[in-house]
Amino acid sequence: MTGVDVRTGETGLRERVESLVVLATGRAVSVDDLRGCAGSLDAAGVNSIAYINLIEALDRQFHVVVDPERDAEALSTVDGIVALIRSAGAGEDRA
Amino acid sequence: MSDHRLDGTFRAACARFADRPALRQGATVLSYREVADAASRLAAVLDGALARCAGPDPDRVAVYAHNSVDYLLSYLAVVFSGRVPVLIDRAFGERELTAIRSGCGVTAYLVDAESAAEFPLPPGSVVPLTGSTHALVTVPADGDVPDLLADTAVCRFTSGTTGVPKCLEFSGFAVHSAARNWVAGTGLGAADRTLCLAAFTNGLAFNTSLLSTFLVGAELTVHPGLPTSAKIVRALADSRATRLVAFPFVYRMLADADLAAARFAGLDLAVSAGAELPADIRARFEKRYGVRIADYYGVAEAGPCTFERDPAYRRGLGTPLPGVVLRTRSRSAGRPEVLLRTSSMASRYLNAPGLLESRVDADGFYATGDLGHVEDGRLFITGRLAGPINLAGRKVDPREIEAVVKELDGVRDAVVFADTGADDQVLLHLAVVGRPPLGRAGLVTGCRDRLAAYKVPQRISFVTEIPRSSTGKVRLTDLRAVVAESADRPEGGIRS
Repeated sequence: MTGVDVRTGETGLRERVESLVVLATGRAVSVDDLRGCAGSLDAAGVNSIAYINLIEALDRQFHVVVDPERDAEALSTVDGIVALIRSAGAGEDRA
Repeated sequence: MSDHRLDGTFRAACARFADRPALRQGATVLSYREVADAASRLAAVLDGALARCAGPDPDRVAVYAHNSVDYLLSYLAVVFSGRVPVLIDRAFGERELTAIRSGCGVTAYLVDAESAAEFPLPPGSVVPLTGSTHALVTVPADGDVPDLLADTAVCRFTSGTTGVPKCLEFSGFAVHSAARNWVAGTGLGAADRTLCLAAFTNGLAFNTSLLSTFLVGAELTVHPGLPTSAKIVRALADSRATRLVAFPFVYRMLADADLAAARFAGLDLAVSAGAELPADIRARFEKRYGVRIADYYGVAEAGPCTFERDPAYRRGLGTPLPGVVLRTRSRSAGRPEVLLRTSSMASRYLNAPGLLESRVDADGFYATGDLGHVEDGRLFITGRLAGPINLAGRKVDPREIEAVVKELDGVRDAVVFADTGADDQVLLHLAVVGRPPLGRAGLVTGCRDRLAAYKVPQRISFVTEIPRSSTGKVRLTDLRAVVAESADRPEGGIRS
Protein backbone atom coordinates (compact mmCIF):
# COMPACT_ATOMS: atom_id res chain seq x y z
CA MET A 1 0.00 0.00 0.00
CA THR A 2 1.27 3.43 -0.91
CA GLY A 3 -1.54 5.46 0.52
CA VAL A 4 -2.00 9.16 -0.01
CA ASP A 5 -3.04 11.35 2.88
CA VAL A 6 -5.65 13.49 1.19
CA ARG A 7 -5.74 15.93 4.09
CA THR A 8 -2.11 16.92 3.68
CA GLY A 9 -1.09 15.58 0.27
CA GLU A 10 -3.07 17.99 -1.94
CA THR A 11 -0.34 18.37 -4.51
CA GLY A 12 0.39 14.68 -4.55
CA LEU A 13 -3.29 13.85 -4.90
CA ARG A 14 -3.73 16.29 -7.76
CA GLU A 15 -0.76 14.80 -9.55
CA ARG A 16 -2.14 11.32 -9.08
CA VAL A 17 -5.49 12.38 -10.52
CA GLU A 18 -3.72 13.95 -13.49
CA SER A 19 -1.81 10.74 -13.95
CA LEU A 20 -5.01 8.70 -13.88
CA VAL A 21 -6.55 10.94 -16.53
CA VAL A 22 -3.50 10.50 -18.73
CA LEU A 23 -3.64 6.71 -18.33
CA ALA A 24 -7.39 6.69 -18.95
CA THR A 25 -6.81 8.25 -22.36
CA GLY A 26 -4.16 5.70 -23.26
CA ARG A 27 -1.63 8.55 -22.90
CA ALA A 28 -3.24 10.37 -25.81
CA VAL A 29 -3.62 13.33 -23.45
CA SER A 30 -0.55 14.40 -21.49
CA VAL A 31 -0.25 16.15 -18.15
CA ASP A 32 0.88 19.25 -20.03
CA ASP A 33 -2.22 19.05 -22.24
CA LEU A 34 -4.39 18.82 -19.17
CA ARG A 35 -2.72 21.72 -17.39
CA GLY A 36 -2.84 23.74 -20.62
CA CYS A 37 -6.63 23.40 -20.46
CA ALA A 38 -6.79 24.49 -16.80
CA GLY A 39 -7.61 20.96 -15.73
CA SER A 40 -10.75 20.70 -17.88
CA LEU A 41 -11.06 17.15 -19.17
CA ASP A 42 -13.50 18.09 -21.92
CA ALA A 43 -11.28 20.89 -23.17
CA ALA A 44 -8.32 18.51 -23.22
CA GLY A 45 -10.29 16.13 -25.45
CA VAL A 46 -11.10 13.33 -23.01
CA ASN A 47 -13.75 11.15 -24.67
CA SER A 48 -16.48 8.95 -23.23
CA ILE A 49 -14.44 5.74 -23.23
CA ALA A 50 -11.64 7.53 -21.39
CA TYR A 51 -14.20 8.78 -18.86
CA ILE A 52 -15.27 5.19 -18.25
CA ASN A 53 -11.64 4.13 -17.83
CA LEU A 54 -11.17 6.98 -15.36
CA ILE A 55 -14.23 6.02 -13.32
CA GLU A 56 -12.96 2.46 -13.10
CA ALA A 57 -9.53 3.67 -12.04
CA LEU A 58 -10.98 5.92 -9.32
CA ASP A 59 -12.83 2.91 -7.94
CA ARG A 60 -9.73 0.73 -8.01
CA GLN A 61 -7.33 3.33 -6.66
CA PHE A 62 -9.45 5.27 -4.19
CA HIS A 63 -12.58 3.16 -3.52
CA VAL A 64 -14.56 6.09 -4.89
CA VAL A 65 -17.64 4.95 -6.79
CA VAL A 66 -18.46 7.70 -9.25
CA ASP A 67 -21.83 7.93 -10.94
CA PRO A 68 -21.13 9.41 -14.37
CA GLU A 69 -24.51 11.13 -14.57
CA ARG A 70 -24.86 12.35 -10.99
CA ASP A 71 -21.21 13.39 -10.70
CA ALA A 72 -20.79 14.61 -14.28
CA GLU A 73 -19.82 18.16 -13.36
CA ALA A 74 -17.25 17.13 -10.76
CA LEU A 75 -15.84 14.52 -13.09
CA SER A 76 -15.14 17.08 -15.79
CA THR A 77 -12.22 18.80 -14.04
CA VAL A 78 -9.16 17.76 -12.07
CA ASP A 79 -10.30 20.01 -9.22
CA GLY A 80 -13.70 18.34 -9.21
CA ILE A 81 -12.22 14.86 -9.11
CA VAL A 82 -9.93 15.82 -6.25
CA ALA A 83 -12.98 17.15 -4.41
CA LEU A 84 -14.87 13.91 -5.10
CA ILE A 85 -12.05 11.90 -3.60
CA ARG A 86 -11.77 14.16 -0.59
CA SER A 87 -15.51 14.25 0.04
CA ALA A 88 -15.56 10.46 -0.02
CA GLY A 89 -12.85 10.51 2.63
CA ALA A 90 -10.77 8.36 0.33
CA GLY A 91 -7.06 8.25 -0.09
CA GLU A 92 -6.11 4.71 0.57
CA ASP A 93 -4.50 3.04 -2.37
CA ARG A 94 -5.55 -0.52 -2.99
CA ALA A 95 -3.61 -0.88 -6.22
CA MET B 1 -46.21 -6.11 -48.27
CA SER B 2 -48.41 -6.38 -45.23
CA ASP B 3 -46.46 -9.22 -43.59
CA HIS B 4 -43.40 -6.97 -43.42
CA ARG B 5 -45.10 -4.05 -41.74
CA LEU B 6 -43.32 -3.35 -38.47
CA ASP B 7 -46.40 -2.04 -36.67
CA GLY B 8 -48.27 -5.26 -37.36
CA THR B 9 -45.39 -7.39 -36.11
CA PHE B 10 -44.90 -5.39 -32.93
CA ARG B 11 -48.64 -5.29 -32.19
CA ALA B 12 -48.98 -9.02 -32.80
CA ALA B 13 -46.06 -9.76 -30.47
CA CYS B 14 -47.54 -7.53 -27.76
CA ALA B 15 -50.87 -9.34 -28.06
CA ARG B 16 -49.31 -12.80 -28.11
CA PHE B 17 -46.96 -12.30 -25.16
CA ALA B 18 -49.22 -9.84 -23.35
CA ASP B 19 -48.38 -10.63 -19.73
CA ARG B 20 -44.72 -11.44 -20.20
CA PRO B 21 -42.14 -8.80 -19.26
CA ALA B 22 -40.88 -7.01 -22.35
CA LEU B 23 -38.81 -3.97 -21.43
CA ARG B 24 -36.84 -3.21 -18.30
CA GLN B 25 -34.84 -0.24 -17.07
CA GLY B 26 -33.70 -0.43 -13.46
CA ALA B 27 -36.76 -1.23 -11.37
CA THR B 28 -39.17 -0.28 -14.14
CA VAL B 29 -40.60 -3.24 -16.02
CA LEU B 30 -43.22 -3.08 -18.76
CA SER B 31 -45.13 -6.12 -19.95
CA TYR B 32 -45.83 -6.58 -23.64
CA ARG B 33 -49.38 -5.37 -23.09
CA GLU B 34 -48.14 -2.28 -21.27
CA VAL B 35 -45.67 -1.59 -24.07
CA ALA B 36 -48.45 -1.75 -26.67
CA ASP B 37 -50.73 0.47 -24.59
CA ALA B 38 -48.03 3.04 -23.89
CA ALA B 39 -46.80 3.16 -27.49
CA SER B 40 -50.37 3.43 -28.82
CA ARG B 41 -51.16 6.29 -26.44
CA LEU B 42 -47.96 8.05 -27.41
CA ALA B 43 -48.69 7.57 -31.10
CA ALA B 44 -52.03 9.33 -30.61
CA VAL B 45 -50.32 12.13 -28.65
CA LEU B 46 -47.74 12.44 -31.43
CA ASP B 47 -50.47 12.62 -34.08
CA GLY B 48 -52.17 15.41 -32.16
CA ALA B 49 -48.95 17.32 -31.58
CA LEU B 50 -47.94 17.12 -35.23
CA ALA B 51 -51.41 18.24 -36.32
CA ARG B 52 -51.00 21.40 -34.26
CA CYS B 53 -47.59 22.24 -35.70
CA ALA B 54 -47.06 24.42 -38.72
CA GLY B 55 -46.17 22.82 -42.02
CA PRO B 56 -47.15 19.57 -43.70
CA ASP B 57 -47.61 16.37 -41.69
CA PRO B 58 -44.24 14.62 -41.91
CA ASP B 59 -43.96 11.00 -43.06
CA ARG B 60 -40.74 10.58 -41.03
CA VAL B 61 -39.99 11.43 -37.40
CA ALA B 62 -36.54 11.28 -35.85
CA VAL B 63 -35.76 9.89 -32.42
CA TYR B 64 -32.81 11.87 -31.07
CA ALA B 65 -32.58 10.91 -27.42
CA HIS B 66 -30.58 9.00 -24.86
CA ASN B 67 -31.06 5.26 -24.42
CA SER B 68 -34.06 4.45 -22.24
CA VAL B 69 -37.34 2.57 -22.24
CA ASP B 70 -38.92 5.83 -23.38
CA TYR B 71 -36.58 5.78 -26.37
CA LEU B 72 -38.06 2.45 -27.44
CA LEU B 73 -41.60 3.64 -26.74
CA SER B 74 -40.98 6.68 -28.94
CA TYR B 75 -39.61 4.42 -31.65
CA LEU B 76 -42.71 2.22 -31.43
CA ALA B 77 -45.02 5.24 -31.31
CA VAL B 78 -43.59 6.52 -34.59
CA VAL B 79 -44.04 3.07 -36.10
CA PHE B 80 -47.59 2.80 -34.74
CA SER B 81 -48.42 6.25 -36.11
CA GLY B 82 -47.66 4.98 -39.60
CA ARG B 83 -44.55 7.11 -39.98
CA VAL B 84 -40.94 6.10 -40.54
CA PRO B 85 -38.63 6.36 -37.51
CA VAL B 86 -35.27 7.99 -38.23
CA LEU B 87 -32.81 6.98 -35.52
CA ILE B 88 -30.19 9.67 -34.98
CA ASP B 89 -27.09 9.27 -32.80
CA ARG B 90 -27.52 11.49 -29.74
CA ALA B 91 -23.86 12.46 -30.07
CA PHE B 92 -24.53 14.25 -33.35
CA GLY B 93 -24.38 18.02 -33.13
CA GLU B 94 -25.46 21.02 -35.15
CA ARG B 95 -23.35 20.16 -38.17
CA GLU B 96 -24.74 16.66 -38.55
CA LEU B 97 -28.33 17.66 -37.76
CA THR B 98 -28.22 20.53 -40.24
CA ALA B 99 -27.10 18.08 -42.91
CA ILE B 100 -29.79 15.58 -41.92
CA ARG B 101 -32.49 18.22 -42.08
CA SER B 102 -31.50 19.42 -45.52
CA GLY B 103 -30.43 16.11 -47.04
CA CYS B 104 -33.03 13.80 -45.52
CA GLY B 105 -35.95 16.18 -45.04
CA VAL B 106 -36.29 15.50 -41.30
CA THR B 107 -38.31 18.25 -39.64
CA ALA B 108 -39.75 16.45 -36.58
CA TYR B 109 -37.64 15.13 -33.70
CA LEU B 110 -38.49 13.31 -30.49
CA VAL B 111 -35.95 14.48 -27.93
CA ASP B 112 -35.34 14.25 -24.19
CA ALA B 113 -37.71 16.90 -22.81
CA GLU B 114 -35.31 17.99 -20.09
CA SER B 115 -32.70 18.97 -22.69
CA ALA B 116 -35.06 20.13 -25.46
CA ALA B 117 -33.83 23.69 -24.99
CA GLU B 118 -30.35 22.53 -26.03
CA PHE B 119 -31.54 21.03 -29.32
CA PRO B 120 -28.84 21.95 -31.84
CA LEU B 121 -31.15 23.44 -34.51
CA PRO B 122 -33.31 26.54 -34.05
CA PRO B 123 -36.70 25.01 -33.29
CA GLY B 124 -39.95 26.08 -34.85
CA SER B 125 -41.85 24.59 -31.92
CA VAL B 126 -41.27 22.47 -28.83
CA VAL B 127 -44.24 20.43 -27.61
CA PRO B 128 -44.12 18.29 -24.45
CA LEU B 129 -45.65 14.86 -25.00
CA THR B 130 -48.06 13.75 -22.29
CA GLY B 131 -46.99 10.51 -20.64
CA SER B 132 -43.46 10.61 -22.02
CA THR B 133 -40.12 12.05 -20.98
CA HIS B 134 -39.72 13.12 -24.59
CA ALA B 135 -40.82 16.28 -26.35
CA LEU B 136 -41.57 16.93 -30.00
CA VAL B 137 -39.30 19.49 -31.62
CA THR B 138 -40.15 20.66 -35.11
CA VAL B 139 -37.96 22.72 -37.40
CA PRO B 140 -38.77 24.38 -40.72
CA ALA B 141 -37.87 22.36 -43.81
CA ASP B 142 -34.65 23.33 -45.57
CA GLY B 143 -35.23 22.71 -49.26
CA ASP B 144 -37.09 19.87 -50.90
CA VAL B 145 -37.95 16.83 -48.83
CA PRO B 146 -36.60 13.75 -50.64
CA ASP B 147 -39.13 10.94 -51.03
CA LEU B 148 -38.54 7.76 -49.09
CA LEU B 149 -38.88 4.48 -50.95
CA ALA B 150 -42.39 3.08 -50.66
CA ASP B 151 -41.31 0.13 -48.50
CA THR B 152 -38.90 2.00 -46.21
CA ALA B 153 -39.65 1.14 -42.58
CA VAL B 154 -36.65 2.52 -40.66
CA CYS B 155 -33.79 4.94 -41.33
CA ARG B 156 -30.44 4.77 -39.52
CA PHE B 157 -27.10 6.44 -40.17
CA THR B 158 -23.54 5.53 -40.95
CA SER B 159 -20.45 7.68 -41.29
CA GLY B 160 -20.10 10.09 -44.13
CA THR B 161 -17.66 12.67 -45.40
CA THR B 162 -17.82 16.45 -44.95
CA GLY B 163 -20.05 16.20 -41.92
CA VAL B 164 -22.91 14.44 -43.65
CA PRO B 165 -23.86 11.11 -42.09
CA LYS B 166 -25.25 8.79 -44.73
CA CYS B 167 -28.90 7.85 -44.16
CA LEU B 168 -29.63 4.17 -44.68
CA GLU B 169 -33.15 3.24 -45.71
CA PHE B 170 -34.22 -0.22 -44.56
CA SER B 171 -37.36 -1.91 -45.82
CA GLY B 172 -39.68 -3.76 -43.50
CA PHE B 173 -38.49 -6.96 -45.14
CA ALA B 174 -34.84 -6.13 -44.32
CA VAL B 175 -35.62 -5.26 -40.68
CA HIS B 176 -37.63 -8.45 -40.27
CA SER B 177 -34.90 -10.50 -41.93
CA ALA B 178 -32.22 -9.12 -39.63
CA ALA B 179 -34.28 -10.03 -36.57
CA ARG B 180 -35.35 -13.46 -37.83
CA ASN B 181 -31.82 -14.32 -38.90
CA TRP B 182 -30.51 -13.34 -35.49
CA VAL B 183 -33.13 -15.44 -33.71
CA ALA B 184 -32.51 -18.48 -35.91
CA GLY B 185 -28.75 -18.13 -35.96
CA THR B 186 -28.15 -17.54 -32.27
CA GLY B 187 -30.99 -19.51 -30.69
CA LEU B 188 -32.60 -16.53 -28.99
CA GLY B 189 -35.66 -17.81 -27.15
CA ALA B 190 -38.55 -16.72 -24.97
CA ALA B 191 -36.61 -17.47 -21.81
CA ASP B 192 -33.81 -15.08 -22.74
CA ARG B 193 -33.29 -11.78 -21.04
CA THR B 194 -30.91 -9.50 -22.94
CA LEU B 195 -28.97 -6.69 -21.30
CA CYS B 196 -28.02 -4.41 -24.17
CA LEU B 197 -25.36 -1.78 -23.47
CA ALA B 198 -25.31 -0.24 -26.94
CA ALA B 199 -27.49 2.55 -28.29
CA PHE B 200 -30.29 1.57 -30.66
CA THR B 201 -28.93 3.87 -33.33
CA ASN B 202 -26.16 1.30 -33.70
CA GLY B 203 -26.68 -1.92 -35.62
CA LEU B 204 -25.28 -3.95 -32.74
CA ALA B 205 -28.27 -3.04 -30.57
CA PHE B 206 -30.86 -2.56 -33.29
CA ASN B 207 -30.25 -5.91 -34.96
CA THR B 208 -29.54 -8.12 -31.95
CA SER B 209 -31.92 -6.81 -29.34
CA LEU B 210 -34.97 -4.96 -30.60
CA LEU B 211 -37.34 -6.69 -33.02
CA SER B 212 -35.70 -10.07 -32.33
CA THR B 213 -36.74 -9.77 -28.67
CA PHE B 214 -40.35 -9.12 -29.67
CA LEU B 215 -40.43 -11.97 -32.19
CA VAL B 216 -39.81 -14.57 -29.48
CA GLY B 217 -41.36 -12.92 -26.43
CA ALA B 218 -38.05 -12.43 -24.66
CA GLU B 219 -37.11 -9.58 -22.31
CA LEU B 220 -34.88 -6.61 -23.08
CA THR B 221 -33.10 -4.50 -20.50
CA VAL B 222 -32.14 -1.02 -21.62
CA HIS B 223 -29.12 0.66 -20.13
CA PRO B 224 -29.04 4.46 -19.94
CA GLY B 225 -25.80 6.35 -19.51
CA LEU B 226 -22.18 5.25 -19.53
CA PRO B 227 -21.68 1.52 -18.88
CA THR B 228 -19.37 1.47 -15.87
CA SER B 229 -18.70 -1.84 -14.14
CA ALA B 230 -20.72 -0.80 -11.08
CA LYS B 231 -23.73 -0.01 -13.26
CA ILE B 232 -23.39 -3.17 -15.28
CA VAL B 233 -23.28 -5.30 -12.15
CA ARG B 234 -26.40 -3.57 -10.86
CA ALA B 235 -28.19 -4.06 -14.20
CA LEU B 236 -27.22 -7.74 -14.27
CA ALA B 237 -28.68 -8.18 -10.80
CA ASP B 238 -31.89 -6.29 -11.68
CA SER B 239 -32.47 -8.06 -14.95
CA ARG B 240 -31.07 -11.54 -14.25
CA ALA B 241 -29.84 -11.30 -17.84
CA THR B 242 -28.99 -14.39 -19.84
CA ARG B 243 -27.34 -12.42 -22.64
CA LEU B 244 -25.05 -9.42 -22.59
CA VAL B 245 -24.62 -7.33 -25.74
CA ALA B 246 -21.73 -4.88 -25.69
CA PHE B 247 -18.80 -3.38 -27.55
CA PRO B 248 -15.28 -4.75 -26.98
CA PHE B 249 -14.22 -1.85 -24.74
CA VAL B 250 -16.83 -3.00 -22.20
CA TYR B 251 -15.32 -6.48 -22.09
CA ARG B 252 -11.88 -4.92 -21.70
CA MET B 253 -13.14 -2.92 -18.73
CA LEU B 254 -14.86 -5.90 -17.14
CA ALA B 255 -11.84 -8.14 -17.69
CA ASP B 256 -9.77 -5.62 -15.72
CA ALA B 257 -12.35 -5.11 -12.98
CA ASP B 258 -12.20 -6.95 -9.70
CA LEU B 259 -15.74 -8.33 -9.71
CA ALA B 260 -17.06 -11.54 -8.23
CA ALA B 261 -17.78 -14.22 -10.82
CA ALA B 262 -21.12 -14.85 -9.13
CA ARG B 263 -22.33 -11.51 -10.50
CA PHE B 264 -22.20 -13.05 -13.98
CA ALA B 265 -23.58 -16.45 -13.03
CA GLY B 266 -26.89 -16.02 -14.89
CA LEU B 267 -25.29 -15.16 -18.21
CA ASP B 268 -25.28 -17.83 -20.88
CA LEU B 269 -23.69 -15.72 -23.55
CA ALA B 270 -21.89 -12.44 -24.11
CA VAL B 271 -22.00 -10.93 -27.59
CA SER B 272 -19.23 -8.66 -28.81
CA ALA B 273 -19.20 -6.72 -32.05
CA GLY B 274 -18.31 -3.47 -33.69
CA ALA B 275 -14.55 -3.85 -33.41
CA GLU B 276 -11.98 -6.54 -32.88
CA LEU B 277 -11.90 -8.11 -29.42
CA PRO B 278 -8.27 -8.90 -28.56
CA ALA B 279 -7.67 -12.55 -27.66
CA ASP B 280 -6.11 -11.76 -24.29
CA ILE B 281 -9.15 -9.75 -23.18
CA ARG B 282 -11.49 -12.50 -24.26
CA ALA B 283 -9.40 -15.07 -22.37
CA ARG B 284 -9.27 -12.98 -19.18
CA PHE B 285 -12.99 -12.22 -19.24
CA GLU B 286 -13.97 -15.83 -19.85
CA LYS B 287 -11.58 -17.16 -17.22
CA ARG B 288 -12.67 -14.63 -14.63
CA TYR B 289 -16.43 -14.86 -15.13
CA GLY B 290 -16.97 -18.22 -16.84
CA VAL B 291 -19.05 -16.68 -19.64
CA ARG B 292 -18.33 -17.26 -23.31
CA ILE B 293 -17.94 -14.24 -25.55
CA ALA B 294 -19.30 -14.88 -29.03
CA ASP B 295 -18.19 -12.60 -31.83
CA TYR B 296 -20.77 -11.11 -34.09
CA TYR B 297 -19.87 -9.41 -37.34
CA GLY B 298 -22.31 -6.94 -38.75
CA VAL B 299 -22.12 -4.23 -41.37
CA ALA B 300 -24.19 -1.05 -41.17
CA GLU B 301 -25.40 -1.43 -44.74
CA ALA B 302 -25.95 -5.21 -44.66
CA GLY B 303 -27.15 -6.01 -41.13
CA PRO B 304 -26.03 -8.98 -39.03
CA CYS B 305 -23.73 -11.28 -40.97
CA THR B 306 -21.86 -13.88 -38.92
CA PHE B 307 -21.95 -15.39 -35.45
CA GLU B 308 -19.88 -18.11 -33.76
CA ARG B 309 -22.26 -20.81 -32.58
CA ASP B 310 -19.66 -23.38 -31.59
CA PRO B 311 -18.36 -22.70 -28.05
CA ALA B 312 -15.28 -24.79 -28.81
CA TYR B 313 -14.25 -22.73 -31.83
CA ARG B 314 -12.00 -19.88 -30.76
CA ARG B 315 -10.88 -18.28 -34.02
CA GLY B 316 -12.49 -15.98 -36.54
CA LEU B 317 -15.86 -14.23 -36.43
CA GLY B 318 -18.12 -17.23 -36.87
CA THR B 319 -20.22 -18.66 -39.66
CA PRO B 320 -22.80 -16.84 -41.77
CA LEU B 321 -26.19 -16.30 -40.20
CA PRO B 322 -29.22 -17.59 -42.13
CA GLY B 323 -29.85 -15.49 -45.23
CA VAL B 324 -26.18 -14.47 -45.52
CA VAL B 325 -23.72 -15.53 -48.23
CA LEU B 326 -20.03 -14.63 -48.04
CA ARG B 327 -17.62 -14.23 -50.92
CA THR B 328 -14.22 -12.61 -51.41
CA ARG B 329 -12.64 -10.88 -54.37
CA SER B 330 -9.04 -9.99 -54.94
CA ARG B 331 -8.13 -6.34 -54.54
CA SER B 332 -4.86 -4.48 -54.98
CA ALA B 333 -1.75 -6.47 -54.02
CA GLY B 334 -3.87 -9.60 -54.08
CA ARG B 335 -5.60 -8.75 -50.81
CA PRO B 336 -9.10 -10.26 -50.66
CA GLU B 337 -12.06 -8.02 -49.85
CA VAL B 338 -15.11 -9.47 -48.14
CA LEU B 339 -18.36 -9.33 -50.09
CA LEU B 340 -21.75 -10.06 -48.57
CA ARG B 341 -25.22 -10.81 -49.80
CA THR B 342 -27.83 -10.64 -47.07
CA SER B 343 -31.60 -10.51 -46.82
CA SER B 344 -31.25 -7.60 -44.39
CA MET B 345 -29.49 -5.20 -46.76
CA ALA B 346 -30.33 -1.50 -46.77
CA SER B 347 -32.11 -0.28 -49.89
CA ARG B 348 -29.99 2.82 -50.47
CA TYR B 349 -28.56 5.98 -48.90
CA LEU B 350 -31.39 8.51 -48.92
CA ASN B 351 -28.95 11.44 -49.11
CA ALA B 352 -26.35 9.88 -51.41
CA PRO B 353 -28.27 8.46 -54.36
CA GLY B 354 -26.45 5.75 -56.27
CA LEU B 355 -23.57 5.36 -53.83
CA LEU B 356 -24.75 2.20 -52.10
CA GLU B 357 -25.97 0.74 -55.36
CA SER B 358 -22.49 1.25 -56.83
CA ARG B 359 -21.04 -1.03 -54.16
CA VAL B 360 -23.41 -3.90 -54.93
CA ASP B 361 -22.45 -6.17 -57.83
CA ALA B 362 -24.71 -7.81 -60.37
CA ASP B 363 -25.17 -10.83 -58.09
CA GLY B 364 -26.29 -8.66 -55.19
CA PHE B 365 -23.04 -8.82 -53.20
CA TYR B 366 -22.06 -5.74 -51.22
CA ALA B 367 -18.39 -4.74 -51.10
CA THR B 368 -17.72 -4.18 -47.40
CA GLY B 369 -14.29 -2.56 -47.61
CA ASP B 370 -13.11 -5.12 -45.06
CA LEU B 371 -10.17 -7.33 -45.97
CA GLY B 372 -10.41 -10.96 -44.95
CA HIS B 373 -11.00 -14.52 -45.93
CA VAL B 374 -13.23 -17.50 -45.25
CA GLU B 375 -11.61 -20.52 -43.66
CA ASP B 376 -13.34 -23.61 -42.35
CA GLY B 377 -16.62 -21.84 -43.05
CA ARG B 378 -15.66 -18.97 -40.74
CA LEU B 379 -15.06 -15.34 -41.54
CA PHE B 380 -11.67 -13.84 -40.68
CA ILE B 381 -11.19 -10.07 -40.96
CA THR B 382 -7.59 -8.99 -41.43
CA GLY B 383 -7.84 -5.27 -42.14
CA ARG B 384 -9.59 -2.56 -44.06
CA LEU B 385 -9.25 -0.83 -47.36
CA ALA B 386 -9.04 2.95 -47.05
CA GLY B 387 -12.18 4.32 -45.47
CA PRO B 388 -13.75 4.94 -42.11
CA ILE B 389 -11.83 4.42 -38.87
CA ASN B 390 -13.57 2.08 -36.44
CA LEU B 391 -13.62 3.74 -33.02
CA ALA B 392 -14.96 1.17 -30.58
CA GLY B 393 -17.78 0.31 -32.95
CA ARG B 394 -18.46 3.77 -34.28
CA LYS B 395 -17.26 4.50 -37.80
CA VAL B 396 -15.55 7.84 -38.35
CA ASP B 397 -14.46 9.19 -41.70
CA PRO B 398 -11.15 11.04 -41.18
CA ARG B 399 -11.89 13.38 -44.08
CA GLU B 400 -14.85 14.80 -42.19
CA ILE B 401 -12.61 15.78 -39.29
CA GLU B 402 -9.86 17.08 -41.55
CA ALA B 403 -12.39 19.34 -43.29
CA VAL B 404 -13.46 20.79 -39.94
CA VAL B 405 -9.91 21.32 -38.68
CA LYS B 406 -8.86 23.04 -41.90
CA GLU B 407 -11.62 25.60 -41.34
CA LEU B 408 -10.10 26.64 -38.00
CA ASP B 409 -8.06 29.82 -37.68
CA GLY B 410 -4.34 29.30 -38.12
CA VAL B 411 -4.52 25.81 -39.64
CA ARG B 412 -2.61 25.36 -42.89
CA ASP B 413 -2.88 21.61 -43.30
CA ALA B 414 -4.26 18.69 -41.32
CA VAL B 415 -4.46 14.92 -41.52
CA VAL B 416 -6.37 12.51 -39.28
CA PHE B 417 -5.37 8.87 -39.06
CA ALA B 418 -5.94 5.82 -36.86
CA ASP B 419 -3.42 5.35 -34.07
CA THR B 420 -3.35 3.27 -30.91
CA GLY B 421 -3.04 4.44 -27.33
CA ALA B 422 -0.81 2.95 -24.67
CA ASP B 423 -3.72 0.63 -23.89
CA ASP B 424 -3.81 -0.59 -27.52
CA GLN B 425 -7.21 0.98 -28.16
CA VAL B 426 -7.76 2.70 -31.48
CA LEU B 427 -7.83 6.48 -31.29
CA LEU B 428 -7.90 9.43 -33.69
CA HIS B 429 -4.57 11.14 -34.24
CA LEU B 430 -4.55 14.62 -35.75
CA ALA B 431 -1.35 15.92 -37.35
CA VAL B 432 -1.65 19.63 -37.93
CA VAL B 433 0.40 22.38 -39.54
CA GLY B 434 -0.37 25.91 -38.48
CA ARG B 435 0.69 29.20 -37.07
CA PRO B 436 0.40 30.61 -33.54
CA PRO B 437 -1.64 30.95 -31.44
CA LEU B 438 -2.88 27.55 -32.59
CA GLY B 439 -2.78 25.08 -29.71
CA ARG B 440 -4.37 21.89 -28.48
CA ALA B 441 -7.10 23.63 -26.49
CA GLY B 442 -8.22 25.68 -29.48
CA LEU B 443 -8.26 22.68 -31.78
CA VAL B 444 -10.23 20.55 -29.33
CA THR B 445 -12.72 23.35 -28.73
CA GLY B 446 -13.05 24.00 -32.45
CA CYS B 447 -13.74 20.34 -33.11
CA ARG B 448 -16.13 19.96 -30.17
CA ASP B 449 -18.14 22.93 -31.40
CA ARG B 450 -18.57 21.39 -34.84
CA LEU B 451 -18.43 17.61 -34.44
CA ALA B 452 -19.93 14.84 -32.35
CA ALA B 453 -17.76 14.39 -29.25
CA TYR B 454 -16.49 10.97 -30.28
CA LYS B 455 -15.06 12.46 -33.49
CA VAL B 456 -12.73 14.84 -31.62
CA PRO B 457 -9.12 13.65 -32.06
CA GLN B 458 -7.57 12.41 -28.83
CA ARG B 459 -3.95 12.72 -29.91
CA ILE B 460 -2.73 15.89 -31.58
CA SER B 461 0.71 16.42 -33.09
CA PHE B 462 2.00 19.74 -34.33
CA VAL B 463 4.28 19.31 -37.32
CA THR B 464 5.94 21.67 -39.78
CA GLU B 465 4.75 19.79 -42.84
CA ILE B 466 2.53 16.88 -43.83
CA PRO B 467 4.58 14.54 -46.04
CA ARG B 468 2.70 14.06 -49.30
CA SER B 469 3.42 12.42 -52.63
CA SER B 470 3.62 14.39 -55.86
CA THR B 471 -0.09 13.74 -56.34
CA GLY B 472 -0.89 15.16 -52.90
CA LYS B 473 -1.54 11.82 -51.24
CA VAL B 474 -0.41 11.62 -47.62
CA ARG B 475 2.63 9.37 -47.08
CA LEU B 476 1.38 7.82 -43.86
CA THR B 477 4.55 5.93 -42.98
CA ASP B 478 6.57 9.13 -43.25
CA LEU B 479 3.92 11.04 -41.32
CA ARG B 480 4.09 8.56 -38.45
CA ALA B 481 7.85 9.11 -38.30
CA VAL B 482 7.38 12.87 -38.31
CA VAL B 483 4.84 12.82 -35.47
CA ALA B 484 7.03 10.49 -33.45
CA GLU B 485 9.83 13.01 -33.84
CA SER B 486 7.56 15.89 -32.82
CA ALA B 487 6.32 14.06 -29.72
CA ASP B 488 9.15 15.50 -27.63
CA ARG B 489 8.32 19.08 -28.55
CA PRO B 490 4.59 19.59 -28.18
CA GLU B 491 3.24 22.50 -30.20
CA GLY B 492 6.84 23.14 -31.21
CA GLY B 493 6.09 22.37 -34.82
CA ILE B 494 4.03 25.51 -35.25
CA ARG B 495 5.64 28.11 -37.35
CA SER B 496 4.46 31.46 -38.46
